Amino acid sequence: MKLISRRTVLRGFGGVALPLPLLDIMARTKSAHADTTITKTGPNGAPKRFVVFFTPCGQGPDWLRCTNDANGKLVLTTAMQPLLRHKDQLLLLDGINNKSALFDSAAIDPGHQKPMVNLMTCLPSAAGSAGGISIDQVIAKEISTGTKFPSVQLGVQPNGGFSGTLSYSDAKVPIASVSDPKQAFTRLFSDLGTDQTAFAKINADRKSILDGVKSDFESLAGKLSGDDRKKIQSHLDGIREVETRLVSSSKTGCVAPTQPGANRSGAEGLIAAGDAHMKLLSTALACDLTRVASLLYQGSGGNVQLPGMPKGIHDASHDYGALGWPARNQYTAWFAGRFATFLDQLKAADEGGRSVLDNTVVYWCSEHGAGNHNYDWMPTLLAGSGGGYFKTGREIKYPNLTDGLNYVQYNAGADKATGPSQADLYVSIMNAMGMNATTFGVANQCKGALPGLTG
Amino acid sequence: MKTAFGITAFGFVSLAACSGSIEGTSGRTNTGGAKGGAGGAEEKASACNFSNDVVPGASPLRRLTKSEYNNTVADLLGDTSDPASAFPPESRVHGFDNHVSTQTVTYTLADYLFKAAEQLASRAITKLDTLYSCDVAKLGETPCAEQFVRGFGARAFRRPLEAAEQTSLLDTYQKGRQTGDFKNGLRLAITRMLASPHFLYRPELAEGERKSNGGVALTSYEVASRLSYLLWGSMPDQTLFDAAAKGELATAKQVSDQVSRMLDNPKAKVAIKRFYAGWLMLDKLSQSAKDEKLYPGYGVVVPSMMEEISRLMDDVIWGNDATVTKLFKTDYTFANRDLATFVGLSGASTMDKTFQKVALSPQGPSGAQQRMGILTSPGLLAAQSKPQESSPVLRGRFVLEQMLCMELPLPPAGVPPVEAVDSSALTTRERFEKHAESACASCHKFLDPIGFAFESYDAAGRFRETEKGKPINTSGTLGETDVDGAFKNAVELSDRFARSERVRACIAKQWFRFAMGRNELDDDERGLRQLGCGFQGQNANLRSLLGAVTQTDAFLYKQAK
Repeated sequence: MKLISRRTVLRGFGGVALPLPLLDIMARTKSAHADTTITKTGPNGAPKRFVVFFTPCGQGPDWLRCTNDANGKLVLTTAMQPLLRHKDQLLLLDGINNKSALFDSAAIDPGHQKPMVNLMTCLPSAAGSAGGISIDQVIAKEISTGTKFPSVQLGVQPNGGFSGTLSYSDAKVPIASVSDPKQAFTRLFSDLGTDQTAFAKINADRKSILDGVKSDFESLAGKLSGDDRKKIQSHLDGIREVETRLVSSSKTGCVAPTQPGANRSGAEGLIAAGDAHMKLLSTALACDLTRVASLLYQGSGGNVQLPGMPKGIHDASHDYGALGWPARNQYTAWFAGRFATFLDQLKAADEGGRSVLDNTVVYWCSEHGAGNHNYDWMPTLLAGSGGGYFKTGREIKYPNLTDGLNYVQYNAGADKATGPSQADLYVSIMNAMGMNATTFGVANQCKGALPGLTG
Repeated sequence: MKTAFGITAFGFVSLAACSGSIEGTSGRTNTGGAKGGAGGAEEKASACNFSNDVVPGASPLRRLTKSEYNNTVADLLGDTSDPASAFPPESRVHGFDNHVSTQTVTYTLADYLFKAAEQLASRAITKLDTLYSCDVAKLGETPCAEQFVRGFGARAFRRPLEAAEQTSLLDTYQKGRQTGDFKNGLRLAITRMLASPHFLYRPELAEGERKSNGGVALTSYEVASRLSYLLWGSMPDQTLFDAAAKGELATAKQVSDQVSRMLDNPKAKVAIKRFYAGWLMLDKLSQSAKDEKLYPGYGVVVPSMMEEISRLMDDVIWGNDATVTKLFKTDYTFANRDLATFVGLSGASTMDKTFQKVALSPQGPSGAQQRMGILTSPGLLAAQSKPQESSPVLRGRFVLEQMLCMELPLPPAGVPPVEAVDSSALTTRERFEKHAESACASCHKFLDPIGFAFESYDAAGRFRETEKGKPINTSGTLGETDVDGAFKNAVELSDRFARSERVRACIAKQWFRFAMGRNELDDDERGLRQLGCGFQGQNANLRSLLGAVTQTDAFLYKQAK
């Protein structure tokens, strides 16, 4: 007989209005249902994490053709085969819309920019930029307190500008990613292993400096008004946060990865830097340097041409219709391989009987659906159950306007795209991360947590 | 509606939804004297006459860009480690890296800036003797610390410290002295100064003399910083500081005397390169990649393409004929063997790794003139192309926005994509013409003729006379400009641009945007007119334009609070 954990017992007794006999509930928890407790830690007490994995220009049709078998278990199509070993940790969601982009009438490039600035904010764009804070930053404020970094943004080849930006701390305030792996390494791991006494002395001096710097910013802010004052205020807020995060990378057993080599351009650079960034990021998460992160391979509309591919990823994504996107599937397969490697690394990091991946939600997304500028059927793959919150190992198809392969371009037919909004997904992810959220983004575009994710 | 040059060229030119004609009047952002109208005779006559009013535009708070930060710490500390290169990338507006709307700092950059200050200060205290001279043994630690903070602080903040600032910085020094030695005290004071908003930003807080119509004079120190960051991309040198201390940057003449001196300094070349790198969107070239099967060797030749543009631009701007005419009509460029071989310039076989001047002589089977001037530079053409094919749309847009300062609307919803290059027997022009038959026609009739003119250059910027076995058609008609008419190819188009007052006005506007770190606004009508009046006709001189911006109200004054 398996032991029933203390947590399960507590939850069983603590619940209100139990409709089923106690043991029945516990049996369901073990067999079919996820742990729907809203908590910031996993069953082993280790922190939960949220990671965004972004690849550009939607996904190939093989992504959309995944389904469940008769037992409700995920079946992966050809292009998705690299993920086979992680099948039980995956939750594939089909039919989700980037609803705020569908309804965003702002004058901004509708091809790749609009869905990108809407992707993580679920808000209409503002003056060509994002309309507000992005979901990762909302979550970071809640779960990434006391770590060395509130969040970490790595961009393999972000291409600059709005197209290469996922995270916003506020409307029109992008958080750029670090793209040179060497620089990322220095930033993440430079003080690893610093003697704690020495570190305390360094921080005492830093406090003295920061006290002075803060007073300089405060007095200047007092002499300014309008946007100038806001800018100085924002910088001051940043400095205050610097002060609260004067902690070293001191988790026991935390070992920095090998320092990456020099950055290179082109496809070779993308492959090498991507691998380096994944290793840096998985280590940073395992070392608990941060609990929220993103890894962007290329910015929206990116068009890297990988070796052996007939064309660049952007151009491949436009090979729609009769051609059946063969090249697009090749890219989906390649990125699935990289994603699988990243999951391997999170799985290998043990935190007392559970892996880092077990307590993490890794969200693989793109700015388009099937790749031809559509904002419905946004490819959505979650990996890791967020401490057992999500019930993984399956696919959920939400009814939508089309079947995903016949896309709706731009915002044509926005009102007919009936599937759930990405905002609903983000509410679910916030819940998984231990936040009692019920809505995100534009209020009337969000119906609350996505149904069916927890069991 | 076409209008006479004078007012119109300075106003916003907008292709309002491309519905019909280009909005030729002064448009939506203009207020003040030259508002509206079709450029009648009265306005034309007054365009270059100025009242004694002073009407500066806004001067929002500016922060040092990454390159300005690197240059500044090199001048201030002799530290050439370029710490800002590791900072997060900057966003660009109109191609420029210094736009105030992109300069908000949040946690991540605040953290980088603080850590960079720490590292710079740690290095600085190892060579204090290069930063000041004070005999600690003789005078004692505190007097030397006072001397250091006063002297170094005035250079770091680019103005003398106020008494309260001096006291507060010495307090920081004392704290560091308590936890360590004299040098540790100075380390803390230096770190604080380098993390201070007075170092990282350029606040212009002084209450200057009030002029008529709301203009306020800048202090001499404020002018010194404006000049040095404009023309050198760095902090003022000792001569500027000395002039500021004596209040000798108060008149337009005094400013202009400094400008002449500053433009002769090699630092100006580097700073002006930053301007044209933004204007010509050279970041697109450094980020560009091509399908190596179609354009083998492209990746290797990109740095040479960049060098070609720099050398050509520098040759024109700093040479003895710095005219716009020449910029668009040079019959030579600079190349090394790699570049000449790749793009097929004559004489490649006799060249080596070093760059040399080469004639752009007529060649090819048809004997046509292949290239002329900056617009046919291989790197520019490659940057505004796709990885597998040329792009008439990207090239047309680049020319309309960067050379004619027109604002293009975005494509409407539901645009059908252009037929894929590899599934079609059509030429690029034929495929795009088909594309433009739809709802897209109203915009593409502006974009495409210009874009098609460059079809004789492939996605890698190489000259070609056929595509898919068919001869390339580069002819078209330029409309809605002051140099309208038929052209046979990019060379003839460049010739028209060389004569265009609208192009000259646009170049002036781009320089103004870079100089002020912002978009032109309502209040800049006068400043833009001041700048444009001296930049008309065949002899309009680019080097004079660089200094001319310092003589405008926008540069010499700020708005009253």
